[in-house]
Amino acid sequence: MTLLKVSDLRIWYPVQKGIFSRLGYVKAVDGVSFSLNERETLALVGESGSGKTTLGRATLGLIKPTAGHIIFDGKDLTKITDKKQLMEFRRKTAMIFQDPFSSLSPTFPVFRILEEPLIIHGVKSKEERVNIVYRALELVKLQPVELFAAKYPHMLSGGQRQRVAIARALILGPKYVVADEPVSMLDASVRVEILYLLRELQEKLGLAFLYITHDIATAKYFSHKIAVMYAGKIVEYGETREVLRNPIHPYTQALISTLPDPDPKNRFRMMVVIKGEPPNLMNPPSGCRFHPRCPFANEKCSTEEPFLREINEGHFVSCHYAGEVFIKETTTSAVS
Amino acid sequence: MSAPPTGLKQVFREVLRSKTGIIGVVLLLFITSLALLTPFIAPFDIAKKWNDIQWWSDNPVLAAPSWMTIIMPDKYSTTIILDEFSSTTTQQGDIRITTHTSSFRYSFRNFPSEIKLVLDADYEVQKPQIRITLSRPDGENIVIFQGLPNKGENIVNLSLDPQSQDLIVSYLFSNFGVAPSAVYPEVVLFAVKDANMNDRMKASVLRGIYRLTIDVIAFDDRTEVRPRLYVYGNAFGLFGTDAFRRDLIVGIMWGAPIALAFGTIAAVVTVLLQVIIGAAGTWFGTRSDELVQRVADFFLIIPVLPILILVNIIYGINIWALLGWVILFSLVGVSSKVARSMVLQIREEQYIEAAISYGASKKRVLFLYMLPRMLPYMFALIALSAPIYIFLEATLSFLDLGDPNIPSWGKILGDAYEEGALYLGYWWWVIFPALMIILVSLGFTLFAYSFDKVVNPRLREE
Repeated sequence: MTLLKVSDLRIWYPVQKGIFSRLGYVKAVDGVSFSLNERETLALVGESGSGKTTLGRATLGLIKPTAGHIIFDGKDLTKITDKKQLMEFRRKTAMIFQDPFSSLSPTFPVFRILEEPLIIHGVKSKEERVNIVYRALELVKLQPVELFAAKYPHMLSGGQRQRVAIARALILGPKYVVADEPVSMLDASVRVEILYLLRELQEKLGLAFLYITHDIATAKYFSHKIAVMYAGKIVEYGETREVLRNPIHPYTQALISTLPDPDPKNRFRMMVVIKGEPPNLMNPPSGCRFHPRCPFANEKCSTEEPFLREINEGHFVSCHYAGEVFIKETTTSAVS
Repeated sequence: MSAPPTGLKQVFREVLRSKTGIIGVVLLLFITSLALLTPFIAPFDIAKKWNDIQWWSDNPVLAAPSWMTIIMPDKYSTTIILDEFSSTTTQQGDIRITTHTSSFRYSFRNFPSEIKLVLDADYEVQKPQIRITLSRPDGENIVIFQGLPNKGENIVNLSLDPQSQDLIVSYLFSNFGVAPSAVYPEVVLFAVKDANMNDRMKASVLRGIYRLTIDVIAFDDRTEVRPRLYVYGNAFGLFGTDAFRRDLIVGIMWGAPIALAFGTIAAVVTVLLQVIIGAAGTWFGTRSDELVQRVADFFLIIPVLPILILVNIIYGINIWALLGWVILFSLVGVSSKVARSMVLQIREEQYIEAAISYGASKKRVLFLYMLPRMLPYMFALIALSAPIYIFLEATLSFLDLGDPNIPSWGKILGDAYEEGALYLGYWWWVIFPALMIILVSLGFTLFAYSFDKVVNPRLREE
């Protein structure tokens, strides 16, 4: 069942010089559509500046979109004006942030951090709040709970903090959680633990995740579906296994080829690194936004804008030559 | 470099680790304990009498601090008060003659500054006749007063009373054949007998036991006279007296609670208001931000002191109204700008966004999530602006625009300035109140600097 449906979402930031002259817009998200089912994880992959975080925040109503619709649980988020409905929406959604050092209020102890959402959402009895908070701490395996509840964030390690942040996200019993690079700032050893925890929680609580990351390796591990973003647009979208096994868009192919490969047979394979930098979103390239960096770009790519089309079943790609071009991995012979 | 401590407790611990912090805290503790003890040592009733000249008349005028008698015993003396007399009474028909006698040792090396006689008299119909004689150690007996007292307290300042001066002139005339046009009883009475005994510069002090004899001729039974003699020195109290005989220690002690109350209340209220208004303006939107900041700019450029002087001249305000006006002119200001910069910084932290994502209202975020973070900075701002307001109060008092009913350091300095105290050498009248202002400001400033060092990462020592 579809929980979240985003259609043709645009988030344009006006850029102003002085009070009167408007220079234009930064098109952070430009015409994005996707849907997310209940109990499902969608990984949003892309390099920094591709608009993935902006998109994630917009689906939580933290950023007002310029155009488009976000339909959550049958209600259009962009049309919610009623405070009660908005609070209902807030209760059903949550966010886990990238930086566990900045995502917890330094002036509150853990108990208060977790209690705040409950106070705001009108859980009147203190006893009930204590129960919920302790249960949430148990859920994220911060035990003994009484000990952790009394601590301040600065007394905790990065992994423990992120667990607190996850507990806070889950405390209102949400259906949909945006996880914005939840493990990118953690130590490699803690990373796996947190991802395990997230997956376990998803199964236990039936959560839908929007997992924002630049790391395809963790996306592969954690997500059901994957959407690759480039310069404010989704360039490829489909089942994670399918997309990773059979990447169609040149950008996706390049991203996947940069993954470290543990197979010693491939030790002389050269990684394909895409040249150039992501485009300036205020003035994106005409036609296909990837064409200045694409090794296969031709006339058509620079004039005509491609749209997402279904290449295989459930596998959408936005490229004029989808299925026709493949980045070849060059192999060097032994190092001389 | 470690991150700045967030809790107030940690900040205090850090502050007490630096030398400036310790000095600042010690100074502030000293002033605060002085302010707290003042009402017990010198009740407010005394402070209220600050402008009541009569109340201070027992003190010597323009006396230096009494400890100057130890440092410079040749130049300073303290006051001698003679109020215990032994009396003998003889009845001669209707007339009753009472003789009160008492003696004192005068061992100072300088002349008294003044001599005052107080006669507390009571009678039925006819005034008693009184004659007062001073017997000196060299055997001379000089009549210093002759007359009929009124009912109640009769104050005779021998140094100024023309009748008494005439008595001294006649003594000088009978002994040396000269009648000086200006006579100084306080010198003549205590000088070694010679032709120069009326000249303070040339005469030398006659030291020894002096005896005062008061003969009262009473005409009825009810008549009673209680005499008192004040031989004023020129040193008094811990901090001396001013031209109105006021004991400066009262003014200086009462200056502390007044300065502290005014300075800290003004600083706390203005900083709190400025920070809350500035932070709210920035937090609630671009337009309100613009509005608050432009109003702050306006308030920063208008000259507050001239406006306060104007307000004062028009309304003649007391200290609490003055405080109100000061606060009114500081609703927004420098601290609003500091708050703005901090909001811009804090609002980018992810816990703020997290709070919005779980539905916290903007008001809740501001008061519960942002302002507590600014608390240490607010403390530093308060400590920095308290001396500014103490100076402001002192300035207004100095200009005679403060509250006229209570003493304050600024007012003491203003009085001293008007009397030309420094020019005439009454240094104690200027130095002590000025020193108090400096100490309080220094305490606050050192404290604020060490506080700033702790909460402001840029200033933190490695």
